[in-house]
Amino acid sequence: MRSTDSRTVLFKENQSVDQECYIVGEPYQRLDATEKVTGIAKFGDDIKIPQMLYGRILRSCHAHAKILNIDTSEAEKLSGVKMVITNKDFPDIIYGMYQDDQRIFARDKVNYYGEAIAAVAAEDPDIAQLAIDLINVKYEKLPVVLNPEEAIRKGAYQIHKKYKGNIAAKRKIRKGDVNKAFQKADYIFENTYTTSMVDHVPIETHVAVAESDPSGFVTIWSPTQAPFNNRFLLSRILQIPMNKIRIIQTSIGGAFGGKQELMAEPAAVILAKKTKRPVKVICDRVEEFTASTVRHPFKMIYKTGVSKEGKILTRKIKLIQDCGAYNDLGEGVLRYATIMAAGPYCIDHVWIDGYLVYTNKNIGGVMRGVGVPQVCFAGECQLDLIARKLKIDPLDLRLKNALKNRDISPNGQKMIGIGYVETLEMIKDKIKNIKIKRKNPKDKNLVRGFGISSMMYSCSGAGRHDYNSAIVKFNEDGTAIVLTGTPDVGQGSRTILAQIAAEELGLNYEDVWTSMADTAYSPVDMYGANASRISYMAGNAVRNAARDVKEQIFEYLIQSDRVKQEEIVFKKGWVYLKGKKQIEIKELVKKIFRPDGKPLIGRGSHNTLSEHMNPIDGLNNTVDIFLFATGAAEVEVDLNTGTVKVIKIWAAHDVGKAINPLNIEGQIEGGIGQALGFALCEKVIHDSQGIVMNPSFLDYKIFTSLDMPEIIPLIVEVPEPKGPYGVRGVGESTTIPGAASIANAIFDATDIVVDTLPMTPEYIYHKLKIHEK
Amino acid sequence: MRKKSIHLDINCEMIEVEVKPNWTLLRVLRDELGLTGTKEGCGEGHCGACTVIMDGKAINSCLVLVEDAIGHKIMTIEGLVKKDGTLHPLQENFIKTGAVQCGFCTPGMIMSAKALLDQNPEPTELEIRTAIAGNYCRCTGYTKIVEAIKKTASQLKLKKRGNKQ
Repeated sequence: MRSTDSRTVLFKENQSVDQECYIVGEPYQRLDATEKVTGIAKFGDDIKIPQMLYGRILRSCHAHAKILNIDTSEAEKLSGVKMVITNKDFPDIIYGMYQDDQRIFARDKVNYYGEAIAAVAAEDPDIAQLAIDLINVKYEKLPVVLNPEEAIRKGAYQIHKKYKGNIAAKRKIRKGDVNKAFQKADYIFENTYTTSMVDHVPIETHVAVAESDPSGFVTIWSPTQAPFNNRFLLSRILQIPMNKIRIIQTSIGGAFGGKQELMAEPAAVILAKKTKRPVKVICDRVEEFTASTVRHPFKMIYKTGVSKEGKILTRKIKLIQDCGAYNDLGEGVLRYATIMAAGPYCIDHVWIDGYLVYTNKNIGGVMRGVGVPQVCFAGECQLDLIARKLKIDPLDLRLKNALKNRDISPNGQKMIGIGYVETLEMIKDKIKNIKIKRKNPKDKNLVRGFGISSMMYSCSGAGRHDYNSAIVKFNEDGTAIVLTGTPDVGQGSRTILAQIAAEELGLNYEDVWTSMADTAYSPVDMYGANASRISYMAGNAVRNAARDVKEQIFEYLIQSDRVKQEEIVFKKGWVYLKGKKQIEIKELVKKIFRPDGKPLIGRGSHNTLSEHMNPIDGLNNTVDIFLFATGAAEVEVDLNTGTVKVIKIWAAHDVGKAINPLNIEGQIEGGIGQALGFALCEKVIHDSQGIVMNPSFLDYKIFTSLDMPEIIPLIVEVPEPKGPYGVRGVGESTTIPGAASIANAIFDATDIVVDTLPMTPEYIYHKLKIHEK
Repeated sequence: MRKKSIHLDINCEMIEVEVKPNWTLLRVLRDELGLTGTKEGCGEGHCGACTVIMDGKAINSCLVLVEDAIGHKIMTIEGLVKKDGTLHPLQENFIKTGAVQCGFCTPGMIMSAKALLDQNPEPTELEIRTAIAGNYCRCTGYTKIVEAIKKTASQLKLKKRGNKQ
């Protein structure tokens, strides 16, 4: 089989037949939509296997405590209980993604409320729940560390002895000479911003089913967004070789980064091995709010120096990222936040210090936008303060400083083929005729305002090695299958990968089917559905695999029809030789299979071109592809109650190429739904002992259909040189500009300076009262 | 707790099933009858993933004790597809407008929409949004879901007019 170099253009297309796309760029219906609208799609909890037991996990009721003893005897005696496990049933391994600081089940101490301690398998989920309550844990409470700034002070309790000062990680950027630049600045602005802990809130909670056979082979069904990464971790933690672990991805009921890590899987595997029966471990909604990973809260201190004409001369930023109890993927989030903190602007002098600080709270993981919704809120709100002071229109201020092609980003990278200015121009064009009625004629307590915000983000893993691979194979009847290890989490990746394969193979969309991920059969996808990487990385891998298998057919034709490669084109189901329609692709494939007996399997892959962040100055090519967007919001503030109603939101995203415009609109609309919650109402609240006070939908609110504003999605297409058909990612960008647009609109409406998220009515009311005085 | 045998009217079929009295309708649908189209998202009546139609009204099946469902007509997502396999117009339009992303809220969302359209065939946008306000969606921002329901309402209206003529 021919190997494929993923970084070069494989072969030149025949120019004699029109090469315009006819599948890529079209709003095809999702290939998995029918199973979802009929209820046939199988999610994690829909998996049921004969003889299956039900598992539940016992979690800590303290935020910080030593474990003195775990007594499982009463639980074991309960009729219907088949197994109770604790840390003793796992290999004694500490693991992590960036540093090893975590166990599957706590051994000597618990470091957050909700940390896993034990698990039970029983005949019935009710019995499993009863058994959990019968496990008796003796704790010795320890001082609770909740505030990151207190956690890094001298004398603070060390949560992990190995990591001094409760600092899990640091990152920095040193570019130019900020001190000199501040001296030259006409104005210096210093502001502090804070964001809160937010949960992913997938509507489907975490669950996993595991089955083990006597040879030690383990099969796991899980709504995981990272099956290969999970296999890698499980192999390490449970000491099982990868060929004995099979992870089958089920349909996934929402992920957003929250189904990246292991949660129910390890307990399910050990319970299955010990009971010799399949086990389904369920995590309920309370566990989602207390024990699943969260978006890191940030405190951000921004000092910005500008000229009176509005040129940003320098930005000095300190980021304090609340890690929670374990590093997990927090270090990656810190990296993203540090790289993007200064904003999408051409700034020569940048100084950024980022600190990831341990606290006794929920583990910060990866959540859509990973650190950038937070820093975008800070940087963009401050920009509007600057615009107001300098009496420059906020959009013009951004245009003046915007990164353009050949500019150098704050983290030292040269911009190539970017479309940031186009997103600003798109918003400028859409809002030019809008007249916001500041005051409501019927009610003087309602005032309206308008605000914008821009963002910069990364497509594919920034600062880490990343790769994706794909197989495209023909069936004997000439239809094709795409095998991918990348899960579709609802963003529509199965659909766009089918579109890319169909386009490349010259087939119709209906002739191609994309698999779900199954580590036994799918080619490796290193990190899963995250980092807005799929259209780019899996798209390239699939395109390369399609080209590889097409080339095999070309070889056949070159032999059989004595043509040259450049004279062959596949398009709309037909093979064209020297510009003439010759034979249907399907008929040709049938011939190749039978009688010639040549299976047609194509292989492709793509590697990221990302460098690790330089520890001295952070200035290298850490980001493979930059993503840009500009958002705008119109809000109405009730001066009596502090309630903010978002009337309209515009969002202009440069996606490079919209493989499926319907999907892109869906991402924008859904991303805004999450951004609105982040901006206005979502917060995981802890009491002084670190106990989560609102682990239910009663007290943690997300936006419903009645809360949503009118959304105007705007797709900008500036082709990305490295992406298949010019595509870039968009999945996470859509959650990023919203909060700052809304905050800036509130500033426009009321003159109050917002510096904290969420902007609840109480917070806005309080700010209004202070402003009045 | 002992199991007892009861009869439930599910998707126009009388089904006999053994249940414990503390089981919810949701649990019986999913675990005893294998009708896994109806989902559990919170178990507390907030998220609406468990929405089924009981006597024409959209209800949270996680809040209904199974014995309280006896003698009532229950319709689940599985009951929407016709016997010949054709999809209900709501299902068709959810697919066409791009209203389906992860699909977990979709069955509950469609059942709430069906209950609405059966009672109010010409809803305003506000009435649509109110009808699905108890169905959380974290993926779509609701825009295309509302569009799908609107489209279905106008198609059914046209069909009705056509039938009258």
